[in-house]
Amino acid sequence: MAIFRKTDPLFGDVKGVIGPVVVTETRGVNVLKLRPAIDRKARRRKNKGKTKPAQNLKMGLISSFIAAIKEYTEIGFGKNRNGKAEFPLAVQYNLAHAVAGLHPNFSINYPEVVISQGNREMAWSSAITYDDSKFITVSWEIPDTANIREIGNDLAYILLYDETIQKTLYSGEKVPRSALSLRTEIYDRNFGSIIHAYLFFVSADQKSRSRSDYVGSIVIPFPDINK
Amino acid sequence: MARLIPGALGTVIGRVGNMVFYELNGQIIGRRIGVVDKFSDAQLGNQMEFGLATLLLNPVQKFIRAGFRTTPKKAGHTFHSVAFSLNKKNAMSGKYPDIAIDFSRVVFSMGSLPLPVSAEVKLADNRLQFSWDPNLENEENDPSDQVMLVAYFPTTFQALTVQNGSPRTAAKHDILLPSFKKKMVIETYMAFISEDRERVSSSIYLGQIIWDKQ
Repeated sequence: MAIFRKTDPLFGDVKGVIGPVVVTETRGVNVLKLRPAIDRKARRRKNKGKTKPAQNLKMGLISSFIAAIKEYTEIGFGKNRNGKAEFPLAVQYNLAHAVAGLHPNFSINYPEVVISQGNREMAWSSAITYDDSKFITVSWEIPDTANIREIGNDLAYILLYDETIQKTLYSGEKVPRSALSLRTEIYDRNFGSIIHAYLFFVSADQKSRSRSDYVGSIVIPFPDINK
Repeated sequence: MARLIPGALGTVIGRVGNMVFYELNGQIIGRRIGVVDKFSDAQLGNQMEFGLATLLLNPVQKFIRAGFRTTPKKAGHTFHSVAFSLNKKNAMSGKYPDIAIDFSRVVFSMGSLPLPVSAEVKLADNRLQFSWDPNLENEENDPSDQVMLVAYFPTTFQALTVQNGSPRTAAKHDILLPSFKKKMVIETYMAFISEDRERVSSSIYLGQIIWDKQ
């Protein structure tokens, strides 16, 4: 702690915070002291039971969602022109567009979620279906006007996200756009869950990608044990 | 982006990284860029128009590449900058925050070939059937000209484009639509391009088609 006189020509009549230093008056004496450290535990105790600010709640919601699907957003938001990292870009976009509800009951608006951005031809007429043999099929079309030689070899990236257990069904399998569908097996833990599907394409040379398309959602029924 | 103005020593005007250079009272000033933390409605409106024009033109890149290739442009301008400038200035309607694209004023090509005559489009089954009058009485038209078509889907910002369609003499061209599962709005356009790709007509708006056969 330093003491200085009010008439000091260097400091004059300074009061307040300057960087890490606080200038105050104590019992008629002007003093400089280091800013006190923030007691985070005390702050947590003080805020216990209080609702977090809206921005904190939204950020937590979107960050944990993007963290769960980051294998996809790293590709979908990767190699961007401004050199920003993929994770904050994906969080930034979805924070602005894919949060629904009012404080404090925020939720993810799954149809508005975007996991990839780009100029390549998007998926057309995508659909998700489930058959009783534990398989989900995601399909899409290539319109007549598209140049199949140019886009047929694009790789299809399909994200299946289980909203109930908040995990992806990552099969790792990729098919070319010309295959027009991908059939993938679900796990037992996915029974009774809501599955959301997203689809985007990446060129064979990995240089361009399409914007992601929300294919839709499907509820996986529990198997009929009487069968 | 800064511009280098030619001169004995050259003069940089504009932004390079976090430095901005500009002329003030006859002097070239360089300073660090400031932080903008609040935009006016006019600025936000400009940003929104910019975003909409980008979304509009992204799915029709190949079409506008052909459609504006021969359009006169300033030095350094490309087909995209001409298309962007035209549509941002003319095809946006409303004031911020209610700015929307006026699809009847969108232009996807511009050139000296005569405009299509008696052009129309109708929906039959799952096909868009385009038709036109070849109008070969007009000496500017050539039988080998080919039709160029756009079917634009404003709800998803996707487009089906045809850059080298049927010859002018065929008087019709169909586009098979993908199998939609929900109601779709389709904005349609037509233009012509010469066989050697050196002449193109301006595009015309044929109207809005609603697909609703769920």
